[in-house]
Amino acid sequence: MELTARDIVKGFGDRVVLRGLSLSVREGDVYVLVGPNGSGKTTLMNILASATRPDSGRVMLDQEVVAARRAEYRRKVGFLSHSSMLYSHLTARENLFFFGGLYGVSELASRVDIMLEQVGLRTDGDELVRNFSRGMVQRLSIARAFLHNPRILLLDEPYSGLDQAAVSMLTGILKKFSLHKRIVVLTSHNLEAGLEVATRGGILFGHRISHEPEGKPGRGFVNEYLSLIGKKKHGAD
Amino acid sequence: MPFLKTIYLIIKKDFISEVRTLESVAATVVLALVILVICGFAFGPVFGDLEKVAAGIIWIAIAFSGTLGLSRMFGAERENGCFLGLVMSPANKGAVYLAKVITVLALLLTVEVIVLPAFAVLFDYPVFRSFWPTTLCFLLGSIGFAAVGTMMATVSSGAKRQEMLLSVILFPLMVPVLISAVRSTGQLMAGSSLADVANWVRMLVVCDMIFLVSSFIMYDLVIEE
Repeated sequence: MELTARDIVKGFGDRVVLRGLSLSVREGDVYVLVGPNGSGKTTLMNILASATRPDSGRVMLDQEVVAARRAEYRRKVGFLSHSSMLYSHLTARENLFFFGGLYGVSELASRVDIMLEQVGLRTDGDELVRNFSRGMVQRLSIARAFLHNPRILLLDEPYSGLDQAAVSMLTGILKKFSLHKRIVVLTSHNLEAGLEVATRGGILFGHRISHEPEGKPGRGFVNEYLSLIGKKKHGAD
Repeated sequence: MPFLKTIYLIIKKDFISEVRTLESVAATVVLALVILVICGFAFGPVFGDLEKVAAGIIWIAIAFSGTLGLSRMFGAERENGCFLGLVMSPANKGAVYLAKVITVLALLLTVEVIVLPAFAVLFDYPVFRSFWPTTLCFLLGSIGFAAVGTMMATVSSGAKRQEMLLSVILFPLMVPVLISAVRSTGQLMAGSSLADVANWVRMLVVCDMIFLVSSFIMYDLVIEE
């Protein structure tokens, strides 16, 4: 299984966000995408998730254009975006039952219990989401994204709002998940946590992937990223 | 994902949310009653030609308050990006549309159950001279409103000035439904028989069918944008 983005161009009004971006992620990869604010990480994730259409270019799964078989593709995708996609007047359990029902998850009750346990919300399952803290909402969003056991996982800033224990929890889940021949793409400002699970990485800068080392990203990747951020800062100044 | 199960899940979710907050029902019912009271002071029970304006007053209350209800319902759906969750799910989008139409219809019927007796009391006017034909016409008018309203609320829900945009795009499309509903219910409340308003009823049925079928087919395209 291979997820490919080819020659993606996307702009909003006069502002170009992505220009000719190409990316390829194979099963078993945990691809960590980093980049300064406004570099287009979220836009790219939305395009990969088929939530946003690119102005040109295409996303393909195993050489099949995703836009042509969107419903089938979405069944395979678990997507965590900046919005929680959770109903605040439903309980955590009701939210998971609702989305699990839409995805046709089998043995849903036990699956919901497992996910609540995994994200550390087992005792809070019957609480309304509106009473949750930011971190708890993020944990539940992670549970929602994993609920239907997707083959492709797209996580936009998954570590945002999480405490250290929850960061370790997510890292553990992702490591287990990647062993099962899945595709994971995640964006993160938390370089330490992101690179711990990464098998590949890329820096989004100048509207495209500007640096993409072979294999697991290491110290050189971090240095390159810090130098690009420095350049951007000086440019802005 | 079975079609009917999607409809059931969305209706159940909306029902639970609404029962917990009463956000849409409370706002809609209160606005409808306020409109009736204002019209009550303006016209009053001694107004001579009440039968000419009765249906108009009732449908103004239903249409304006229903628009507010639509805004609230779809605003809640946009909160936290929940609508994106629906779009991203493999659920049949036609089923999503029908579920939303049923939810909006339930809201409108709740309003009508309160507004019609309130109107009868405030204006001392027999609303149900012929109960079943009048009920049928209110039901058909409400189905038309829910069919168009759901589509337009979806179109406008991503906009910054959602409530203003909804009113601007909804009411022009609603004209055939509103005219037929006002005419048919007005004549029935004035004592006419169902046979007398048969043309208006046919018009309502045709409008409902056109709006329901075309919106059902196009909803997938609209929701993706």
